[in-house]
This record gives sequence, structure tokens and C-alpha cells, in this order.
Amino acid sequence: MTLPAIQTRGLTRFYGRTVGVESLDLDVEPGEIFGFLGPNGAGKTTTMRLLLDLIRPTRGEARLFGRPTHDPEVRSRIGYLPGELVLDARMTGRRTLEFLELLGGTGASEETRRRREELCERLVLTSADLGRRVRQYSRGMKQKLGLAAAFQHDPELLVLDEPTTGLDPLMREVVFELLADAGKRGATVFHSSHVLSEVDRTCTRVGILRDGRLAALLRVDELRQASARRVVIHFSGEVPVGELVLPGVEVVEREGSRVVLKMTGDPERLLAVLARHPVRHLTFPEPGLEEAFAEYYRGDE
Amino acid sequence: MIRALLSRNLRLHGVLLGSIWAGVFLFEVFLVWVAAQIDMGPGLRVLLEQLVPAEVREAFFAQLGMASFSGALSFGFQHPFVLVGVIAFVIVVATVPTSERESGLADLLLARPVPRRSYVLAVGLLILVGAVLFPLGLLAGATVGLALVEVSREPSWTRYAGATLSMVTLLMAVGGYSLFFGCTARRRGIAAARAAGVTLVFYWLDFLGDYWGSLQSLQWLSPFYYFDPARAAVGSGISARDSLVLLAVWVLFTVLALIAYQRQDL
Repeated sequence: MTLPAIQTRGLTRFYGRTVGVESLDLDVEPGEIFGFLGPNGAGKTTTMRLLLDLIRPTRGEARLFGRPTHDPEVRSRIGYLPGELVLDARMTGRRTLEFLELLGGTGASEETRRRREELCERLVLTSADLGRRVRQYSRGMKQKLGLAAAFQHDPELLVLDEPTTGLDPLMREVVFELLADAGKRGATVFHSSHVLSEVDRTCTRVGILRDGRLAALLRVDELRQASARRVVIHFSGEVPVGELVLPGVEVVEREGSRVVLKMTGDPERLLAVLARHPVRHLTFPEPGLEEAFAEYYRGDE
Repeated sequence: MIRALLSRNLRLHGVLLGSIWAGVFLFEVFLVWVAAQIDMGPGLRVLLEQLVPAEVREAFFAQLGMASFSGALSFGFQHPFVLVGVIAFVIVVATVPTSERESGLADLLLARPVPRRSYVLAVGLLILVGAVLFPLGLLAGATVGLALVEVSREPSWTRYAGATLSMVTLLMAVGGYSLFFGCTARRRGIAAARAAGVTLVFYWLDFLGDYWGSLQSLQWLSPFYYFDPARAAVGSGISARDSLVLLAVWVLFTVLALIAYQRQDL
């Protein structure tokens, strides 16, 4: 029987009277790319820090690969990127990576060095960048270095707290590729995000946290079905309001030839209507996470 | 792993360590030169007896042990500037765990397979390095100074080995309780203030206890009570009991620091 990469049972952490996370029961299977969603303060970071034994639970327990989280052996199999990444500003980028590798206890190997070089190349961290002290790095550069540190020892489990924070769109693509590659080689990825589209692209399953509790645990396609998408349409002529009354479509705003719709489910019928009318401009703004949650909860009720 | 952490700590604090070491070394060389210049022999003892009241002599010069060439050189081991410099280093290093927890760097380091005790021990080892190197710097300064100046009755550098050992044990004791504060406080400023404050209280407790009866009964609480480099320098050796007490303080607080850091949240 394969043990879950991550298993929590009744995992609870209070900060005084404030709930960090409460009664969290979660199983993440090996090889799974799991997205952990929730607004700020929902308990994502608390859960990750509990998984890494950086803080201790008030109740319940967490296990990684069937072993307690404080077991150094199990932590040697983890790559971690904190949400608020802090690196030693006095070290160079290269020295930071080498030092964090040394702390893995495996010693520097030729394979590690090669993997590190390849990672740095993909993350566009040049030799000159790596030779500079971290204090000279921008926010994005630090994030790239943190990602390289998390991936460099080829971990079986990646715990990444908002890994794309501070990165430009091109670099985000690289991160998505790295996550996909990790998944292909069988690694488990547990990452948090605020951005629904990121989860959509990378994850197989998501957990939604709200006020420290697991509000939902579902596949990404289920979340997609549940979450409403906004559609902004600029018609060349009159808005065919009557024809827009469709199942799963709601007109939320109308101003002149512009109309904003909220749509759940299959867009086929709406597209058929739009095909019959001259449309000047059509956009699908990314729904905010709160909006997705609201829709999901509404559907749930 | 401890080696990797220690070598990082050494690299990050190397300049401070080297600067303080050079400072105490040069200070001791200077002290030898000054002592030779004013011919710290019986002449000074007579001068001091005439100029300085007996109770002050007793309090400040440890039964006039320091009013000799050998005694004067031991002054370097307990000069306030020297003590402030070396104890400041100890406190700076001992509060690294709080500093790295406060900044968030500890998250990254301890998410690796690093046992917390190894992390704390690596800090403790750097304190030990400082606790050994600084007194050795003073010893080296005394040795070099004695080789450079001409004095009528040149004492052997070995006379200062006892003073060196006495200072090593004092710094270990201070390092022990400073590490405890460094592993339990939430902020580095608080940890450093606690360690510095307690050290200052201990220093004055021992100092004032020498001629203030009501404090005399509490002197034993101060690590400085067990620190007497002048006695060692004038040839009386060092007390094994004093060294053992200071070593026990170091062991006790280092163990408490390890337990506290092991149990708490980062």
C-alpha cells in the first residue's frame, strides 16, 4: 500500500484565540499536484509550516510519507519555498544554493551541481547573478533563487507557498513548466496560490481553505464548473438582452452596448447567440478567488 | 551538518571575531609596553600605597596583586573595554537563533533536514570559538609584549595561562545564559537586552559586593565572582572550584537552550 505523501488528521493550530487552521483532514497522494487555495489568513501558510515542523499543532497530527514531520530523513525529501522568502543577504546566490544543499546532509555531488546549473539556466539566473550578494537581488531574483533552492535536490515532495509571487509572466511560465516536470517524474507538489488560473493550469486537485477550515476538496475541473466566469461583451449594435437569458448565464451589468455576464458551465449556448450578432470586443476577465469561492459556496448551498 | 552551519556562522561573524581578537591582542601588547614604561615594580606599589586609600586598593587591585608587573598584565583580562568587547561578541552570536527566527531565515534553514539541536549547537560552538580565541589573543598579546619590551624581572607567559583559562570559563558561562536568552526570546533586541542586562547586573553585583556587606552574601550568584585572572597571574593559580562552577553554568544553560528551542514554534 502506498502511503500518502501528505496526511493530516484533525490538524489544528490556534494562535491564542485565533484559529490558524482547524480540524484539517487531508490526504495528498504521491505524484499529485495539489493546489491549496484560500484568501489571506485562511490558514495556508500555517498548514505548510505545520507540515515542515516549523510550528507545532495544538491538536491532531501531520505525517509525510507516513512518518512524523520532525523526522530529518523525511525532510531531506522535501523542497520548500516559504511565502515570505528570507535569504541571508550577506551570502552570494551561489553560496546560498550550495549551503542549502549541504544542509540536506547528502554532500555536494556532480549530479546536484549539474541539476543546479540547469535549474539556474531555466530560471535565468546567470553566473554573474549567482556571484552577487543576495542583498543586491530584486524581489523576483530572490524568488528565483528560492525556487532553485527548493528544486535543486530533486525532492520527492515540493511544498511551495505562492511560488510565482514577484515573478514576471515569462518566469511564471517557467515555474509552471518546473511544476509539470516535477509531476512527470513522480514528485508530489503541494502549492498554495491566490490565482485561480495558476491552479487551473498546474493542479490535479485543490483544497479550499476558509477561516482555517477545509471548505472544499475537489478536482480542478469541478472547481472550474462551480466557479462563475465573467464575460464582458461590447456589441456593435443593440444588446440582444432577450437572447442572453440562458441557463447558467446572468446579466450583472449593462451600459449602452456593453454588457457584463456571469456564466457557469458550458459556454456553447452563449457562443451560439454571440455568433448571430456583431460583437466588437469580447473579454473573459479572470474571476477573483473570492468570487470563485462565493460561487462555489452558493452552488454548495 | 553542524560543520556546514558552523563554517557559515564563522564566515558571517569572521570579521567581528577577527577585529575583536586583534583589538584585545594589541591592547595587551600595549598594556605590557605601558607597564614596562612606568616600571611596574615595588616603586608603583609604594606609590599606590601612598596615593590610593586602602579600601579602594583592596577593591580595585585585589590585595595589591595587580600592583606588580605580573598583576598589571592580568589587568588586560578584566579591563572593562576588553570585557565589553568580548561579551558583546558572545551576545551577538548567542542571539543569532532569535535573529534568524525573527527575520524568517530560520524557516528556510530548518525546513531542511537539520535537527534543531544541531542548529543551536553550531551557534554554541561559535560562542566557544570566541570564548577560547579572545583569551588566547590576550595571552598572545602578553607573550609578544613581553618579548618586545625589556623588564628587569620578566615574568613567564605561562603565568597568564591561568588567567586565560579563567576568562575562557567566564565567557563560556556568559555564552551559556546568553544562548538561552537567544533561544527563548521572540526578538533579537529583547534577547540581547536580557543577556546584556543580566551580565551588567552580575558584574556590578560582584564588584560592589567586595565592599558592600549586604551584597556580599549574593556575590556567589555572579559568574564574575568566580573569575579572578589577577590571582592566577600573580602565581596563585586558578581555583578548580571556580572553573567548575562556570563550566556548570555553561552546560546547564546550553542544555536549557537546546530544550527550549526544540520545543517552541519558529
